[in-house]
Amino acid sequence: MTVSTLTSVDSETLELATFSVGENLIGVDIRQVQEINRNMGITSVPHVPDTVRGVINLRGEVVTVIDLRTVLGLDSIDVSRTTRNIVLSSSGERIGLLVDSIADVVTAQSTDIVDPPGNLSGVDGRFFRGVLKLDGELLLVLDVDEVLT
Amino acid sequence: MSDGNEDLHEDQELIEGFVMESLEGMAEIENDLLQIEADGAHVNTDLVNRVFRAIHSIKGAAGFLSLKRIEELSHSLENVLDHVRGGSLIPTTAGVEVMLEAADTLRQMLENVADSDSVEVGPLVEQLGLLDSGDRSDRDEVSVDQESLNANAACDEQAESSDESEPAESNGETEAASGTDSSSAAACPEAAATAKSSAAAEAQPKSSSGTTGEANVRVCVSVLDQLMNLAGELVLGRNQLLQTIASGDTRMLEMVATWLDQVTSELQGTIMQTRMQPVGNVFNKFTRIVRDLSRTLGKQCQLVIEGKDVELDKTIIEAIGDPLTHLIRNSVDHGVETPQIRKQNSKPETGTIHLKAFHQDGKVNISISDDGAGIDAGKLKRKAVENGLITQERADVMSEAEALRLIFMPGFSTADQVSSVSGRGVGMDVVKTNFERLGGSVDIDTVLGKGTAMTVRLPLTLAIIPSLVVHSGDLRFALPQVNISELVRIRAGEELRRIEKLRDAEVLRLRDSLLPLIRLSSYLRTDSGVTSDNEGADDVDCQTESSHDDSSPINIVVLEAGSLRYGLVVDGLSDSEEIVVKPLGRHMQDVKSLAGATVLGDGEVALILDVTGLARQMGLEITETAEPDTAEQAIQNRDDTFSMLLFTNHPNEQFGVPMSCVSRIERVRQEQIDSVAGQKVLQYRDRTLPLVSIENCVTATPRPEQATLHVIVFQAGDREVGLIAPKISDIRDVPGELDTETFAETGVLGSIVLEGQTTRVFDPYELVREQRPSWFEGHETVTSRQALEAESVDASLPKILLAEDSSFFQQKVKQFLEQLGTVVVTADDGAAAWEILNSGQHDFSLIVTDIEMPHLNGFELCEKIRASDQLRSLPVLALTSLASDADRERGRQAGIDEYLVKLDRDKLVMAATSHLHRVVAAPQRSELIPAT
Repeated sequence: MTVSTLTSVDSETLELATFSVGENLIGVDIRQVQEINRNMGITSVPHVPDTVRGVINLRGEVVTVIDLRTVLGLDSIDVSRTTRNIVLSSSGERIGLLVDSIADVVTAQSTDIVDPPGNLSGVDGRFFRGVLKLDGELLLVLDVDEVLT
Repeated sequence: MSDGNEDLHEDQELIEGFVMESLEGMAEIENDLLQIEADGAHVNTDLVNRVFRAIHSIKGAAGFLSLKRIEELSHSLENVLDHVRGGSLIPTTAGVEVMLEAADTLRQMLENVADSDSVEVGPLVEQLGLLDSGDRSDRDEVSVDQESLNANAACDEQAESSDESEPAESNGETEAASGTDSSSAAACPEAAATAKSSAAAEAQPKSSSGTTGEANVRVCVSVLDQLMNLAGELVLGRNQLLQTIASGDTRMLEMVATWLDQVTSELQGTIMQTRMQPVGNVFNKFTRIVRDLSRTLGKQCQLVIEGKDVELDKTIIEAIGDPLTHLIRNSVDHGVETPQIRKQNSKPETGTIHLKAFHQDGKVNISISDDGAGIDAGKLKRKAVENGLITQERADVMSEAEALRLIFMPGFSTADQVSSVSGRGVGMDVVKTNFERLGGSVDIDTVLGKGTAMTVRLPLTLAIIPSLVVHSGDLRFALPQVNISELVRIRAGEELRRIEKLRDAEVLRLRDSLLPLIRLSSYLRTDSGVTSDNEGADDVDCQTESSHDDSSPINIVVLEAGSLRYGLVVDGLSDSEEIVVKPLGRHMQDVKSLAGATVLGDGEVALILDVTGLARQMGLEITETAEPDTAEQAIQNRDDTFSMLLFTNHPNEQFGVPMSCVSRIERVRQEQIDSVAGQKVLQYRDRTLPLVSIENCVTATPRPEQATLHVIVFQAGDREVGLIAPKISDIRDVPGELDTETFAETGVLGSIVLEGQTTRVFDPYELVREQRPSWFEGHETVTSRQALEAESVDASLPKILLAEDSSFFQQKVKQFLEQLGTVVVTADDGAAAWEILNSGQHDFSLIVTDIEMPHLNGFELCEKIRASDQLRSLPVLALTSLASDADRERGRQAGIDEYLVKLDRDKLVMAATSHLHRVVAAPQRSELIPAT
């Protein structure tokens, strides 16, 4: 669906911040990333969906933290030394995504992003805008709006 | 970015500025036009000039920005105003109507400036033109100097344009509505579409003005300067702090901390100031509403506004518009009468509504008072009964103040038929809820025929609230101080005594009421991933007494919100803090039990609990509002009930004692009970409390052995006696009709079947008197000595008239009174009592009456007695099971001398004795000692 529109527009250079969640390498458009931190002072909130890990104090602002693993249908995250909080800006609100670890920034052409294959390793395909073929591995491009609804 | 973009951006800024400035100018125009209308032929030139200038500058700027339609409309309006100013056009109501309409349209166009060119202004321009020309043709002679007038006006404008900014509020805190709306609308087409639809939704002039879409706040320059200064101080403080930390000087650190503390508080105050807006922003639109509405209804009303400058936080200002509008409309619709009626009642034909804002006790009060018909409490009651909101019995005992509060009940409406103005289903309950949501309240006060006053009390701000931080495990929560009524701490080991379980629900016995409890820890545990695993184990608060018992003390925060009241059991109390309320993200909008979040001193986030939402989530409200069944409710609403403490001796046998006899309930351990000379006693508060057990007094199965049991303590004579009640089950209101036959035995008042279980009701006095008659002698002597103090001793016994419809109570009270040595004549209701009184057969010394009776109730009986020449001086004692303050007040007005709770024997005896002595002869001594 989105791919047809993506290919129809002129090719655009994208920078993707990449990170890993379980076995998957995932990327988001770097323009949506506000910051990446190790702020694990998360206050849990009762009576919210399982995907909401809690809230943090981000320089005076109360920011919701989402456990990306649970969104994608994996077990909830074990906070470790490599765990990072990627703060995204979405519809005027800042929201954090907990990921297992972060990786490099990848530059790609938007025309290179293709439809996600049906057999992603254990995760729900609807959360991805497409797939980018890198050397030796696949980079899943995250649909931030879908994840954060 | 290209140059074209730059230009567009600049244009955008210009348009934004134009809209903001124009709307500011427009804000005053409506009221000014109304004033012009009121002035009629006596044109106030200054006023007209002001409106003229505002419209003129809009026209000028619109022309410059090539906003054609705005220019066209403002031009026509300006022409008309020019003629008004010149005196060539007398402003009539119809004329002003057209002008107002033009002003409304102009405002709407400004609010959505991007689409302003598509608005059809032709008909309005035509109407304005007609107004203009029609008048001129009528007065040809005036029109001669029209040209010169225009020329003059043009000169004036030049001079005035220099101080164009003046008409805007000089304190500069009025805002321009929808400034950003229009800017974003122009920026992207999708947004424009949404803006259009929202503008369409607001098309009705009544709801749109003033309070919508506040995206910009104008701040006074001096406040801004102050903020800048404070920011400078803050930077300085930070530098000092960093230096001090580097040098490790702890003494200096304290000084720096104090300094920073001062600067932050000041900064907080100043920033709050920028959020404060005059309440006039909301009030201004009401003049128009009152005018339009009274015309529709054929009434004459004027609105007098006071205290426009009183400031409130912008969030509150935004939220009070609608509920206040409702109250104002109510005043016009229900309050002020039609001119004809007002004339008949010799009131001025024009009704006056006062809208006033003022500060009191750190809150802002807004009062809306009219000089209209007032509210008929009786009518409210009738309506409420008709609508099935309350029962007739309840209505009969309701005080006026209570009846007035009926209008805040959901589903209540006094309107006989639905009109366009009222009876639209949006009731006063919504108004009340709206104000309560803001932490405010509404009160009502009325005098029939004189008018009604509604008073709204609001907090100054919502952004920073005083709160109490509590914790459960390692999670901390903030509770707004406004909701906290008290803190209760239960010492370790007393938990079982103070907290009782009724079915599954826990309740706290707090003074004379039962308070439902919610455990914060169970709120956290229910169906969510959150667990608080270390429950209070590392509490600082709990450490203090942890050596005392295996459990820790329990902290309960008693919370209140409207009529809701409950206790929240927390693991510990931390600080009382002023917290800054931060909204929660969109994923947590559905969590009604949370009001937001805040960042605490240590940088961690604490959640703010919503007192109402929390109760709802924990299912508390259901037990609060929903009555178990209607039959039971009917019982509660009847006066002939009494509150009974239920307990079991042997688990299979239920007993009850009237609550009015109970002094208190103690929980004791079995080993605390000693047996001294065949008498059971409890060592208790340095005294010995004699105990009686049920099986020793009446035929009953002995109680099983158990470690802890309850003792019901009551006053018998002048000493305390304890009745052993192994297990307390409930306190309930039960009907006064007891079966006095089946279990007739000394000490047993009667029996009643409650939930399928036969319950024997004791009279504790009788019970003890039967066992220990000697204990009562001392007491009786005191009473009789009091009796002897009265001088005259008459042989004839004093007569008491007892009016009581319940045969059980009648019998019981008669017995009490007869023990005093009096003759008691009984009547089954008020009417019968009145008959007996008037028959002249008896010469009564005292009247004891029930309140709730058929035919003639206690109040009415008393009023009749007070109105009668012969009977006026008779003392009247009222017996009731509900003695609220309102009831007492009603009784006092009716002329009742004393209010007594049913079955409180001691008080009744005392009161009866003292009144008998005051009025007539005291009985002989021997008569006063009861037969037993």
